Amino acid sequence: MTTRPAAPESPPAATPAKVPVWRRLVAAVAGLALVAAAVYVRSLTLTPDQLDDPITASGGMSQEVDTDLFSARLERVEFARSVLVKKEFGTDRATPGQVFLVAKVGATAPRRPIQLHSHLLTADGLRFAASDRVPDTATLAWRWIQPGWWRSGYYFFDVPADKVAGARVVVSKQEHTLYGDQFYAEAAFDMGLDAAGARRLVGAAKDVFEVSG
Amino acid sequence: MLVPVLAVLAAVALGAGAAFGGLEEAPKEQPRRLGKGATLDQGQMSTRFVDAVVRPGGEGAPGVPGKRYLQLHLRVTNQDSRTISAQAMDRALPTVRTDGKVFKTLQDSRTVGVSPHIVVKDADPDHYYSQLPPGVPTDVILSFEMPPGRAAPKTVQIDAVSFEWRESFFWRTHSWSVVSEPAPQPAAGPGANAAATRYVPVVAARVELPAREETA
Amino acid sequence: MSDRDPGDTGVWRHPAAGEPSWFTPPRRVPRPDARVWPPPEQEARSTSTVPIPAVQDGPAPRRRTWPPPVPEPAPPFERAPARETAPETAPSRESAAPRREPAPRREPAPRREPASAPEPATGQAEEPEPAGSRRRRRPMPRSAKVGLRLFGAAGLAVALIGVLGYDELRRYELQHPPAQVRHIPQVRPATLGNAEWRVVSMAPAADQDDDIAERLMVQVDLEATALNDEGTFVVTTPPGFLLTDAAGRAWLAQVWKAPEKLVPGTPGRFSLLGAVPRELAGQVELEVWPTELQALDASGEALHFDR
Repeated sequence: MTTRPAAPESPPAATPAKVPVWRRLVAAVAGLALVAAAVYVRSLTLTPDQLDDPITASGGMSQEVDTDLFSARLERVEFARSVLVKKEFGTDRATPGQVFLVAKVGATAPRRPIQLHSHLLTADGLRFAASDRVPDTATLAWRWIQPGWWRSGYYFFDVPADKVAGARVVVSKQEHTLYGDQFYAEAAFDMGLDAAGARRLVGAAKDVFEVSG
Repeated sequence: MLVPVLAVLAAVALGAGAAFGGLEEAPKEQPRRLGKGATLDQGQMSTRFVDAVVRPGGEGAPGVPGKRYLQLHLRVTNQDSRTISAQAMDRALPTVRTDGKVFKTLQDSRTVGVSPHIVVKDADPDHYYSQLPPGVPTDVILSFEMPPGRAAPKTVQIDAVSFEWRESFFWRTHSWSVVSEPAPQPAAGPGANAAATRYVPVVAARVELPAREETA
Repeated sequence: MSDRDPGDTGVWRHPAAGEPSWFTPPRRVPRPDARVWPPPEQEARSTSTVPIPAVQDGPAPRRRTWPPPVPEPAPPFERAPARETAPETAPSRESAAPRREPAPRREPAPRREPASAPEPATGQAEEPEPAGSRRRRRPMPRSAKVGLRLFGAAGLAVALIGVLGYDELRRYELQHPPAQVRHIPQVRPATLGNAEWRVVSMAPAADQDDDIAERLMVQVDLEATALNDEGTFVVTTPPGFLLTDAAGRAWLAQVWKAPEKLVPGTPGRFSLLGAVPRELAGQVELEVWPTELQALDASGEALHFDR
């Protein structure tokens, strides 16, 4: 492959004799390697679905994860069988269909104010949105994350208890469907729960988790 | 050697073709008929048709007191990999008829007729939600406001479509889309625009539920 | 030429090698018919045998029927548009000669030919010249040739990536216009859209929200004057307000009090509240963006009131 273009360039009659066999072998091997590399690189190309996925920065429990637009950390994970939302006037009780996973997340922004949404990505790839049973006003999604200080809040996920092991809490700027950039980086936090740990935590679920909002 | 074999093959092919109806267009597959309590796999979700009730609104039922609502009770399992909105059932059940008369239908993805209020119901009687978490069976109520004075229907017919995980022609990304077919052309009159082929959803199943009336 | 249908000009049957294209020089005009067979000198002799000589000179060349010639070892494609009815002459045939691309191949220099072939990116960009001067040049050294080839490949790759990148950037900027911030001294009013804004005061707020110690609430009082009826909409959809520091960080200032309605020409008082780091409370400056989304994305026109 590599020798081909070069061959007719030297005087035509002398060419075949002058190139030693080992060089031809090396050239053939190099050509094969290049072809193999080209084929391999093709296998690395992302599908259009993957190209639309956000860039994910990953971390563990209480590890600070920085993206371009925000920094965040997963501070605590616990479970609750109901959530009591204390409002300015009165309270509201939210009951889960399964069990509430309560993720306490702290965040700050490097430059501009931002609001962060969250979803839970289970080990088998299911994506649970933050539950609508707890009003947004009680969650961190409602708060403005601003530069200069950390702000903590809760996200509530209504998930089956058997999906918790190996799940990750993902925090991202929610893209506006019609306006602006559609590709924001997200931060994913591995809760580090194996099956036994998940069972233990779910077993220790609070009856009532109180939150203001 | 070759010629007789080919001749036999051709004869067999011809015979088989003739036996299965020749080169006529195959008759269209009729939608399945389902009844109360049946479950239909719609691709994106699997739906069990539980009940159809006409009942007044309020007091643990969606709607306002003093008005009557036709409620379709479904048990929906989201088979997508992500949480979807219960509003997706509007697209999944495009047409609802009461006693054979169209009550609501979707035309060009717009609801015509009485548009339903779609809620997710759980044990808590005071709250209605809107999410269908993946893999979790969820009770969904489609609530249609009855026109005042209209008698409660005896039966409700629901057209259910199915979704397929389809690649977009242009972007090559995948999403759930309704299984559709080109609409039957009315008649190729002079005004007919051949290029603008409309696609209409294929009705995967026609569900007939007996409707009952509950008074407060 | 002569064994084909006389009505067939050959234009459609062959690949478009002779078609004018973006890389052919534009000065060439369609040639008149060139008579190639039989050769012109034989024509004189042959006319004596043809009973009606007028056919030869007449304006209808498609009626000529020549006997099948000896196959000419000649160009793979000879263009002879039938629409051109002007009788051909020897000079016109000459002018057509350099047009035939394979013509240089007949030059007795087959050994040099590959030397100039593999550099299409640079060497052949000029129009093909009469095959004299170029052929007699000394062969290019091997290193120069490889370098030229590499340079061509790299240049094309860079050009391709550059064009694609520029296209993407343009598209992104169309959807997401870059920020155009106008800096204005804080004492002066300034116009954004259909309203004029004037900073009245900027001071720490009387009521402090103490749940985070590092921050201080700053209250900004503003006067807005609608310039026309559209300007009165700032009451219902207020623009995005930010408090910024010198490092480019920004904090949200949210509308706390707004006038009930705005009459064009009469100023209305807005009060904003924003939390900023305690040590920056005396330094932050107000920015006004058309909408809150644009403020957060730093997109579009904006006012920046300098202290």
